[in-house]
Amino acid sequence: MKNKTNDAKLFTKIPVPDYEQILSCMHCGMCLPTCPTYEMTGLEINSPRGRIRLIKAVADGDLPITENYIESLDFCLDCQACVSACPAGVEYGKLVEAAHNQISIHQKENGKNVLKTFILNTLFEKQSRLKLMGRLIKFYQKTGLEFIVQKSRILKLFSKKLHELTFLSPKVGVYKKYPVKSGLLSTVQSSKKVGVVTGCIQDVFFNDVNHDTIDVLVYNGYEVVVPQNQQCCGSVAGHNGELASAENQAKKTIDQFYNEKVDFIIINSAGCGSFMKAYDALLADDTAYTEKAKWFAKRVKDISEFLVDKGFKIPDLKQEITVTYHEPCHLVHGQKISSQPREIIKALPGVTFVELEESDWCCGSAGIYNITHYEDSMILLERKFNKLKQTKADYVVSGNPGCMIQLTYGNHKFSSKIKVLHPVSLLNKFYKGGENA
Amino acid sequence: MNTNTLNHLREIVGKNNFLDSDEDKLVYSYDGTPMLSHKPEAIVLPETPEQISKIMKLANAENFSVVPRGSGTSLSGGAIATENSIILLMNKWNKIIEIDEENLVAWVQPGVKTHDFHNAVEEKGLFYPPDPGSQKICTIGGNVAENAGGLRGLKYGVTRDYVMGIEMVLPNGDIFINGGKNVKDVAGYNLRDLVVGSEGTLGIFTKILLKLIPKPKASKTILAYFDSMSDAAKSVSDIIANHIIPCTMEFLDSTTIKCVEDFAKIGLPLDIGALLLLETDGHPQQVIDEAEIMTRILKQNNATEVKIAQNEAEADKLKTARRAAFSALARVKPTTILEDATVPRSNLVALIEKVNELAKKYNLLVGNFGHAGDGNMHPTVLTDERDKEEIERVEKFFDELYDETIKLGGTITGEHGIGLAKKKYLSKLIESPALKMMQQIKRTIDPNNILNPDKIFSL
Repeated sequence: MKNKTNDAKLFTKIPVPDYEQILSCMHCGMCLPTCPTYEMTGLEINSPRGRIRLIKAVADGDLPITENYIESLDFCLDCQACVSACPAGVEYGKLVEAAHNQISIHQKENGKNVLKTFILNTLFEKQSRLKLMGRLIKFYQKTGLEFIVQKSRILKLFSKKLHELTFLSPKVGVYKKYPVKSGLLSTVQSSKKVGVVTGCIQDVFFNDVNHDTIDVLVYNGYEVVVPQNQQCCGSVAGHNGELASAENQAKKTIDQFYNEKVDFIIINSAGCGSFMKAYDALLADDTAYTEKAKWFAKRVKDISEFLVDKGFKIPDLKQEITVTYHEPCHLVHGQKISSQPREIIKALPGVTFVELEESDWCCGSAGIYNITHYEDSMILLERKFNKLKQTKADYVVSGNPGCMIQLTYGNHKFSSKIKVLHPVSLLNKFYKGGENA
Repeated sequence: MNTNTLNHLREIVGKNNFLDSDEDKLVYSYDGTPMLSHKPEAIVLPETPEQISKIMKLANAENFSVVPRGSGTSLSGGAIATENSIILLMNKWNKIIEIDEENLVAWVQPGVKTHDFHNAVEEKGLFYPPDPGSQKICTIGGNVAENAGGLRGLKYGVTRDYVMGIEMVLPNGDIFINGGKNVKDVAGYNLRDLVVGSEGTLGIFTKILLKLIPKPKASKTILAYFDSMSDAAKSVSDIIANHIIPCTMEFLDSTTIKCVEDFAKIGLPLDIGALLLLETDGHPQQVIDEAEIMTRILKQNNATEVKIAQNEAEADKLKTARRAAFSALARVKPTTILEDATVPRSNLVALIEKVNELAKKYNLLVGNFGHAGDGNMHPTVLTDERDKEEIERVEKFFDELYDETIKLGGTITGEHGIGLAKKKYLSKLIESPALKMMQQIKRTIDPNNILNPDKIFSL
């Protein structure tokens, strides 16, 4: 183990969390009832307050990076419900990401956790690799191999978890390329030129949501630019402590949009939006990118946030459907966006909006948590579906690919038929005249 | 603590209910109290009163201490481990055993969260009024141990007024129930009243019987701004002099108002001297009548603005300022010291003025808010524990504030308890024979001083 000074130094090298954040925690305990992992176990070590205490001990050099420390932090969903509850405004998410980075450096030095590092650094590093995986999954689904594998339960011979995981993979639809530019060209009028982030997961698994985003923006009079060959924005790596990868991906993303001189950068994935809004902090020490990152961060808008803020056309079509809303953690807690998606839903003619109890309680998707902590993730998903069933809604709307994958899987797992949609897709269905609505 | 004893403890509760890793000891070294912490030797999660009994007997035999803990939100150090002690964790005892609608009582386990209990009884049209600020996470066991109060204390009383019976384990391991569902019961000493507010020093609660009342049918919320704090305080006494007991009468001073506006941006005027949040509840017609009288009194006392909520959503909006008070103050500086000096209502103005005067004298940033109706203030010092010189001034500030509070006929703690944090003030308030009697009771019940020792007073 490193000596005290080295460990403390290791922490200050990490961009965001400073010791002020750690000290701001007054251990009052208000975060405890909002924390899913504390609720599941009732143990302080699995609470935000407990984790901050451990992070402090490591930063002070009083505690080495131990197995228990890593386990406690890995168990955290990073849902940031505690951030909303914290009276002192401690930015817990930043502390946890920094701790993950610290753990990741520690593990690399000790040659551990190879699989997670591989997924984060190799798969998400290049969009082509993720796309290849998408194509393989699609091939697997198309050929009926998936059906055979799932029905035969052949993987159960190896592991129940592996068998269940095959259902977690979302259906990969037909991939449609994005138009480079669309909508009215607005060379004169400012603040009408928007860039759309097509993301990585979103691009592969929810290509249609990206198209809906573009269509809705065009329909509302914007000039839409889609930089081609985008890749991961860095959030997957960043949220898991792989900061070097995250920084590289952030810079590439910034360059793609900076060159287009857009007025706003629109994102339809909560986790990405939350991360990109903090690009300025991530790249604060990188002099070549400090200004560009600030330029980028202040232009990032979640699609729901943007539409409600700027106003959007109310569709003519009327559809008698019941819709409920599940809050992605990184939208409600990460970006404090909560009313906007509801406003969009409520504005749709004929729609009955039903509030979902515990709508801001994590569904257990949490990035790749449903893969790394399958059983715990399912406890959360079951809780979510118990509440969803009470709403008797036709649709559950949620603006984050992770949540959408998880909720779709929940339909399979808990025999539910509620349709899962992104808010922008619901809106576009009304614009398009309700096909498939 | 020796390995044998630790092994013995592990055998009593089972290995899954025994924690002694470095990490676990760290995260059970604190509660909600600023600047206090101590690591326990182990943490045990007993599942039955019999296991607790065995633990207590072992503690007497092996001479270690037992510190009971629920969610660990104490503000006086009540749940902090002491020298050579184990934490007895009760937060998983979270079952509501029975809600008896005929007798209007409920048996609960001590780990039930206060807010969960509110929800459960309110679903049946019933009401459990005590509502401490940490109600979403604090537990009934902790509430009973600290005799917790809350916003509704003036009209509905505090936890003590709702405890009808307790099952507990004594420090010697004996288990018994005192009290029951009888509204009237004068058989012998009232032991349950003795342990309410005993801060976990006399027994471990394993089951608690709580009184319930019917839920008020209607309520009305009013918010009033004042230029001067004394006008606000005068309104409070005038309302009560008019024979109205509102369920809420909350006060915010100008520092708190500025911090709230800075944090929550809800449009509070920054030039006002005080703010009152009032709520009346009860029968619909009574609520309307009372709200009218209260509004008139507020205006007579120079309220610059009086807002009356017309529906629940508006009421919720008016409550935002009060709700955000603690959060807003807590963000200003790293260390937030929330106190609970309390005086008879008639001396409220004197106390508030004293707080302001001492804040100036010691050059400290102090926000003051609290329960105006029952004289329970929360002078909150915003500081930084790394600044040793300022912390010294904070100490002096509180020393003098509590001297003055006592002079005003007040008490050093209205609802947080003495614990470790206020031990040094206790002998100033409690007369020597009374303090001796308290210590004698502790010695009689816990001769080896193994249950939460050195809390309230040292022996």
